[in-house]
Amino acid sequence: MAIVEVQELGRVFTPRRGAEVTALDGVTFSIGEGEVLGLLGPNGAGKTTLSRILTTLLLPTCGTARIGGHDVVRQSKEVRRLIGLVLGGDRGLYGRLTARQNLLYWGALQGLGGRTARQRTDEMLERFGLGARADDRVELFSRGMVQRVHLARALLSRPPLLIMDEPTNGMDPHAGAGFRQLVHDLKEAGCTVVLTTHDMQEAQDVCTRIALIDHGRILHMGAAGELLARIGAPRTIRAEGVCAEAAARIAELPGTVEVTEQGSLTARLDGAEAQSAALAVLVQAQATEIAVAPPGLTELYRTVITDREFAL
Amino acid sequence: MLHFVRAQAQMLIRSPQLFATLLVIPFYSLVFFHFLKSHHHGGLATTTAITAFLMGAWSHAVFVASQTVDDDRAQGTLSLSLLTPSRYLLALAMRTLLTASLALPVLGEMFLVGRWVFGLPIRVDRPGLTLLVAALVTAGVAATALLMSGLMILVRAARSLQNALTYPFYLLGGLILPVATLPGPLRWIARGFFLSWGAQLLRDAAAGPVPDLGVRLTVLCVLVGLQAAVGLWAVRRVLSFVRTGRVVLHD
Ligand SMILES: Nc1ncnc2c1ncn2[C@@H]1O[C@H](COP(=O)(O)OP(=O)(O)O)[C@@H](O)[C@H]1O
Ligand SMILES: [Mg+2]
Repeated sequence: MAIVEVQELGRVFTPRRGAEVTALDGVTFSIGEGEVLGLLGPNGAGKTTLSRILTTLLLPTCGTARIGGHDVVRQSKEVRRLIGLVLGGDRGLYGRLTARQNLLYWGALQGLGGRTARQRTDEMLERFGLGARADDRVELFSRGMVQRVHLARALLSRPPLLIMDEPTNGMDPHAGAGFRQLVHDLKEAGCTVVLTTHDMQEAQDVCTRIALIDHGRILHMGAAGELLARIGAPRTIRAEGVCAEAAARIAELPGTVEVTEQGSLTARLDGAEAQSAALAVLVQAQATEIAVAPPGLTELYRTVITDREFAL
Repeated sequence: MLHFVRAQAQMLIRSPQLFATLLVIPFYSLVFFHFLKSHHHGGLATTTAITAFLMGAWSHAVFVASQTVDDDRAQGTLSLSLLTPSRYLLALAMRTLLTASLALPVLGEMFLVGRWVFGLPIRVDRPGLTLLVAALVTAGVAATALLMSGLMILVRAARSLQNALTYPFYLLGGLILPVATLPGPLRWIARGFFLSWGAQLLRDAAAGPVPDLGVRLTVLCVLVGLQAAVGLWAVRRVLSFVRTGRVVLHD
């Protein structure tokens, strides 16, 4: 059963000065219970706008969205009971309060009774490995710890739908692995997750489905394997010790090729023919560490989303 | 509800600059009382103490207590709080009230400094009533702070209005001149302003028997209640207006 149903949802911002911005341009999709949906797309694609509309923080300008059958505009109260929200970044907690005091305050806002709030706070502090620092002020925490408090806060009310907007920005690799385990556990427990991230590996690891968003539209949506099969992103060829002459010959093939001064080459070539030709050149030039990797989400993303931030 | 008060107390304890009012007003009082004493106007000491307390409470509300919502915006907690708007409104009300009531001890400080440091003839005939009226006035200024904090979300420039929100209200509250000497329309506005009723009641409660006490207390309660209703209504409207996306919450 779908817990999220979105129909032709759109949002136009009308600034006092300047032109209108279409942040979300009529998107339609649904999310089943227990799914982990990854929202991928460049900055300004409309991911945050979508998250804010789904969590009732922002009104859409057209279309509808329902969470658990409740309309986000007209039944916001019911919707809010079903969702947990994690916004990325360091902000969103009271720096002058301790981790425990923050959680108790949010528990009270959620309407949890005193005893339940205390119990769940202890439980969450334990679960997120914050027990030892529970009574330190949050403003003294490292970024990774702040993010754990954010997660703990969002899960305090045990929401069946968790919406996270770039929760892992700036997490170290251990924290990242812990986060993936958490999402995995949540999924096992039947929780539905909407996760915005710029980390393709993370998305590939935890998401049951991916939505590629750009200019406020969903360009592609499906399981990572499905999308890879459908879109035909190129394999990646890597090699070390590539001489300038060989590199030049490969660069003439269709696709993108990057070579460093030290002779490491990364090539994403279009078509099997070009790929074989490049491999032949590399073998002949006695390059080392020649490796061919199947396309992953990174390649898929780079194929689907046109680069406009800065062209390298 | 206690949770919200406790959380605010925990935040306040860690921001000592918010206690400035408690220190600054008694410091000024040294100047006032010295002046009164050297000019042999000791009889005005009680009124001076009450006026200083009311001005302190009002400016503390306008400059400090009204920051609650804006602080939440700066910390990024406002967005998340909007997921539980009605309890957040309650939390704001309790937090603002607590911050505003930090000015309450100033009244006692003023009396003590006047009497014990300068030996001025300060006397409070009805201490219980004085405390009650001071508490009601504090609730009124807290409600004003709530109203202001809502405005500060809508209009960023409201912050620069803060200065303009002191002197005119001292005038309307009868703190500078007696209300009866104000020109017509101003006099009517002042009559509908809780501060002028509170100030007069405080002065009378200190002096001796208070005429028409029941009626005047009722009027004060109603005006404070109205002020609170306006404050809560305004913040509720602002919080729901925020959903239109026309105010930027995250900077
Ligand atoms: N409150 C707002 N007022 C005006 N424009 C906005 C507002 N919020 C977002 N936008 C614009 O909407 C577009 C989508 O933004 P956003 O949803 O934040 O993208 P993403 O999260 O994918 O980076 C951007 O062009 C952004 O500038
Ligand atoms: Mg974003």
